[in-house]
Amino acid sequence: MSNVFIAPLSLILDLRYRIKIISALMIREVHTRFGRDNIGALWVVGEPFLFTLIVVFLWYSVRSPNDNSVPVAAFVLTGYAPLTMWRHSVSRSTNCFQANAGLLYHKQIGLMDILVARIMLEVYGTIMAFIVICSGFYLVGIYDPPVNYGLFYLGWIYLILFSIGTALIVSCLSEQFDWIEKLTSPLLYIMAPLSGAFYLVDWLPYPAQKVALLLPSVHGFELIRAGQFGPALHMHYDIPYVTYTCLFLILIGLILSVNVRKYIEME
Amino acid sequence: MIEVNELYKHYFIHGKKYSILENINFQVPKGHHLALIGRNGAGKSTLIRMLGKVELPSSGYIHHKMSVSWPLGFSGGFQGSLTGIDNIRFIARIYDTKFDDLYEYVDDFSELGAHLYKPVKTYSSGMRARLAFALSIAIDFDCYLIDEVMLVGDQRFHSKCMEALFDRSQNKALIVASHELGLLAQTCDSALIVENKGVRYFGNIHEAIEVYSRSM
Repeated sequence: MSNVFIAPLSLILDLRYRIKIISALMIREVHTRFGRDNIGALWVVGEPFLFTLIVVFLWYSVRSPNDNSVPVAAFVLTGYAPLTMWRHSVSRSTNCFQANAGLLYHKQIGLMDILVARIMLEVYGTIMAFIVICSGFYLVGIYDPPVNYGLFYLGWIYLILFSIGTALIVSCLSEQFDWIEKLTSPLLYIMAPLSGAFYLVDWLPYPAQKVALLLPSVHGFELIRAGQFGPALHMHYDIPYVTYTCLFLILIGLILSVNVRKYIEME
Repeated sequence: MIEVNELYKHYFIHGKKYSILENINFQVPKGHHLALIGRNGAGKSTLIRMLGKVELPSSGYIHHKMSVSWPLGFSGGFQGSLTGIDNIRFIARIYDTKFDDLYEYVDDFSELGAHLYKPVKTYSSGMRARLAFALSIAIDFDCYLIDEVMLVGDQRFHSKCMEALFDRSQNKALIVASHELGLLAQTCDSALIVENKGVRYFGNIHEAIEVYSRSM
């Protein structure tokens, strides 16, 4: 239970130990979810890969003839891949503690290790799928690499932080109130068009822009697009705002997590 | 040494508080074999899970001054959809031991052979117990928490466990919850009778069994 933060040495040792535990949990998660049949562990990337590829193709075939303002493949790809990362992180974290209660028999495994392992797996899977698709599209000639890698990565980092914060909150609340689980899938569905994955703030009328920019995820997507397309498009983002809101979400999640252990029933 | 101090445990069912254990105090020094005796629902398993830090006490504290195993029972500690081998790999990773050594020991001790390549959920309770025992004995703990399981194995497995765990020369502490009084008399030296939300300590296991049998 009690982590020792007396000396930097023990902190480093503790951190190495945590990484060991979390990677063991990730490997275990991969094996339980995908098994060892057919491509096995490669499904970690394969699943988001198929998801993203299909959606990109749908958009590509629907929108390409009349709209040339934005390259469609790059636009949908930079929207849908991070959106998948966020949605999967949140939906995989609902009830993830109760589902893994058996792991708590090993006292060195904490609840946060279980959650972090799940989120990291989703983040890793989507980013790898994104890289694979981008490389493929680049070779075919329908995707150009980002103009500004700094902004591009920054946007991804904020969306990862946003995913961690919301997943943390949802995982803790779903353990306390079972109706949260029912609420998450419709909420995630509604959030898909609102999140910023499929529009640019610049396309919205001014009052709607104000509202959209309240959502931290919108800033993340705008940053990714700013990095992807460069100064050709006018992007709206506020780095201090998105930093504070993401950290605030994580803080709320951590506060909720303090008490969550007592809601988990052991076999 | 395990130290238990002013331990309380209660549950809330429909908002109503049900007290399970109240003001429990005891110590288990290294090398001691302690039996937990009590009727079904008295709180033996809850106590064992709290001793293994799997379940949190409502108040009070438990100090581990030696390494303590996870509670060995029918459930917990395993992932049913994973094979025995994958479970061994996972345990090796989180307990920082070498997979090869662990595998060799578990294979030899559990005699599960090819079953190790099948998912644990296909195992019988006896096979599960063999895997659980083999895994935890392979990892060197100072104290083992055992909840009911050893009865499901056959004679041969029984004698193996006796040798590996209950042998005094190993100097392992044991905390065993069981209804099998004969077995407890053979293997333990002291006992806690768990009843009426409290525990009664007996330095002599035979005395404890006599008192418990009379109260039934």
